[in-house]
Amino acid sequence: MMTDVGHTALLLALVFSVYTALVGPLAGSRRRDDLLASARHSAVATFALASLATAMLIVLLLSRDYQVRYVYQHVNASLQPIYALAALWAGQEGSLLLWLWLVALLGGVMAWRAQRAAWSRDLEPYALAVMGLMTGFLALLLAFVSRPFDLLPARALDGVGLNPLLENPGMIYHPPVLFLGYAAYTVPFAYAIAALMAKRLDADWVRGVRRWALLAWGALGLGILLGAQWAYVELGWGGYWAWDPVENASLIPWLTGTALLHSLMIQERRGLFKVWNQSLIAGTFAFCLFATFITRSGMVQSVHAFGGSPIGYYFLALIALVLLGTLGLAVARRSLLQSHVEMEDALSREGAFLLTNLLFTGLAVAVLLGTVFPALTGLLMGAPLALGQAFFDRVSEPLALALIFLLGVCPLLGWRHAGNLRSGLIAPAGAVVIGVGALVLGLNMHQPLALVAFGLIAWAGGTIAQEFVRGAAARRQVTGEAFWKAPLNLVIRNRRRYGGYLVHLAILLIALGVTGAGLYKVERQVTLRRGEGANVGPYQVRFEGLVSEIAQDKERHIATVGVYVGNTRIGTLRPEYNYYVNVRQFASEVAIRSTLREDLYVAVAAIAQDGSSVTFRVLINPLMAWLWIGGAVLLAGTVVAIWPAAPGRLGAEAAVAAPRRTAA
Amino acid sequence: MMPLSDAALRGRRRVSYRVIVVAVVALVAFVYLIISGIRAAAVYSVTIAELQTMGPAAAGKGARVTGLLEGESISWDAGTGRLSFRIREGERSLPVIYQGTQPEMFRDGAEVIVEGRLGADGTFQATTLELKCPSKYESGAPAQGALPRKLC
Repeated sequence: MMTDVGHTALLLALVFSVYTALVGPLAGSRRRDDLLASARHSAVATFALASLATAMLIVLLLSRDYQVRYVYQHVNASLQPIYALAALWAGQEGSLLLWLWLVALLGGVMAWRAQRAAWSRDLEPYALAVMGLMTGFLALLLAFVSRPFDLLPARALDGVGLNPLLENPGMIYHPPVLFLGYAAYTVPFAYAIAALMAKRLDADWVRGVRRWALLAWGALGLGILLGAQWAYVELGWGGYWAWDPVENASLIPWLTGTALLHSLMIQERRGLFKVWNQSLIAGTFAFCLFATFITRSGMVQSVHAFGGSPIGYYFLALIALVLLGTLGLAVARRSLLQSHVEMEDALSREGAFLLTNLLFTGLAVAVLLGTVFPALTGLLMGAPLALGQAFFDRVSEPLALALIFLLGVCPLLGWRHAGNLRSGLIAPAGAVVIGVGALVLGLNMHQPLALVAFGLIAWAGGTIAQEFVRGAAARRQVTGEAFWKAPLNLVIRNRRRYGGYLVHLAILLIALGVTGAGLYKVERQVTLRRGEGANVGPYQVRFEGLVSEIAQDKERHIATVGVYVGNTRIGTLRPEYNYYVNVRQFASEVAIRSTLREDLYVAVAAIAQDGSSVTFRVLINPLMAWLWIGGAVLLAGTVVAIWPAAPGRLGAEAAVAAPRRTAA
Repeated sequence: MMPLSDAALRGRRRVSYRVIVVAVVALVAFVYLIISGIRAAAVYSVTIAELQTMGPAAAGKGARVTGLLEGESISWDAGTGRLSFRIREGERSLPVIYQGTQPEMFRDGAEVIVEGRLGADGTFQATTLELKCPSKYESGAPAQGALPRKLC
């Protein structure tokens, strides 16, 4: 019964999606308000139906109805309810359903908050239609190709269950956040197509789309970081990123999305880069789809498991439609896409933004090339050439360093011209000296690459700090606010600008962690008998005991490891090595002692048959905690930048935007 | 055309050149970076049969090989930290030595990807060892990103 309801809801969602996609353009071209209202209702109905289908699958998962194939494959009796819920996105059908629900939600939001601004009235019908096309595509797949509500011939007694490696909090929050990112990139794409269709290619829609682009970007970035953190705490190899094709596939749209955030600002302020922005929006959306294609088609060999599912080719067809459609529309509207101004000076903020764009796009192209390289060479040369991690490290390091340098330069440059550069250089230069000095003397790090990386991070951090200090000082002078209140109000009153600086600060913190753990990682593998110890860096780890117990679905083996510095005991770590009886496999639970300075990471790699000795993988990852702190700041900064301005501020924002018109 | 606008045009062009020069330099550096990266990190992806047919010629060359793990062949020496096993593809079987412990889910029938060199004695010296998930989970192939990195 419930499967019928779910399946029917999907079919109806398909019908309403198609209706929205057809009526929207009609409402737009004929300027018919009644049709627009109808398209809005249809978008909301699509959301309601997608919600119904999703709710049905959730109920089936939680009630463990093993006659449903999807439930049988992803849930079993010993699974905790929260992971039975998370099984919604553990398989292909479920994750497509989640994607549908998210796109339908965003389409519903678009229709719900019907805006009064003229640009929005012109664009909305077409944007709703594009959202309808996307929900229609997903509903089509779910109804006919990758069906979550299919039944087995008979009810099974128990399900296969979730891979034990997935039973980690990471499974609960990483996939939905990532999918929110993929889904949210549909909205900027929808508005971009709408702007082309409605011939409204002025700066207004760019301002409107900015917040959506930020939401998608923030969710995607956060999703990637959450995945990295999950890998770090769950998988026991001590790293968080391996340049695996599936990881790369999610990084590529984030990189082009970052470029987009910057070039959108240029179009808003100066009317430049119109064609470039259209390409970036279409490209970023296409890369989100490509991420699914790559993981579904079996085209790229990866350590992640893929069935050679046919849905990869549906995604390929959609990618072709997205790119060719954008190209066709852009050619048709080419006269409107011309910029009426030109860049005046390379040494200006827009010049630096252009370079930023090139670097991010270059990085995306490099990662894409490395990811599809085996398939490409296999096709062209007959013998597939694989690229190891060394390729990615080698290419991304200089590009990332150049980006950090630019991040430090941008706030110093004025729009159109460099401005008064010299006075702004003193404080950041001082930060470099102090930062690098502290590093060499305090942490004893002096590899050339580390000095360059930390120097650049300190430099960029210095310019951001300077921006805050100058802004706060100016504010105090005007308002006479207390010294602690001025910087706070500075951020609250200028959310776009200082939210952006917070995000930049987050990127620097992440860079700090990546550099520290990348260049100064210490890794040892030691086999210890009970009571024995081994020195790793400044620490001594002692194997003190092993306890085994039978839990519901697994045999747990918990090792007790004492951690000493000199003769002082500073802590106890309890890494586990668990055998999952149902699936007959081992999975380890890592133990980490994390400080701001470094992580001590201990995982059990093997236990001797008689239990007399245990092999540990011990790592020291310097500055690792800053990566996750950076993630939190990233979230905070993105929220600040997205948060709508107070009503009174709208006028002021318009005033800031006004000079653009006179410049053009 | 009025002289003023002519001058403005010339002035604008001059600066555009600077932007173009920066872009071209960036592009050249980028292409160099890609090519040098490929040179440093490319390895041939070969089957066990191809690797063994090459015989002595293959010895010492970098390669990436995929095969199914033979469960009984796994042996790990805690003293030296050396892992040895065999992987199979069809009729062919390849002995592999890897310095390190077995990854999780390392068991009979697992699909193994190794990167390294074929030694003169016909043993493959692996520098990296990765696993694809057993086919059992492929029916429920997870979403991108839904499975932890480095494993499934």
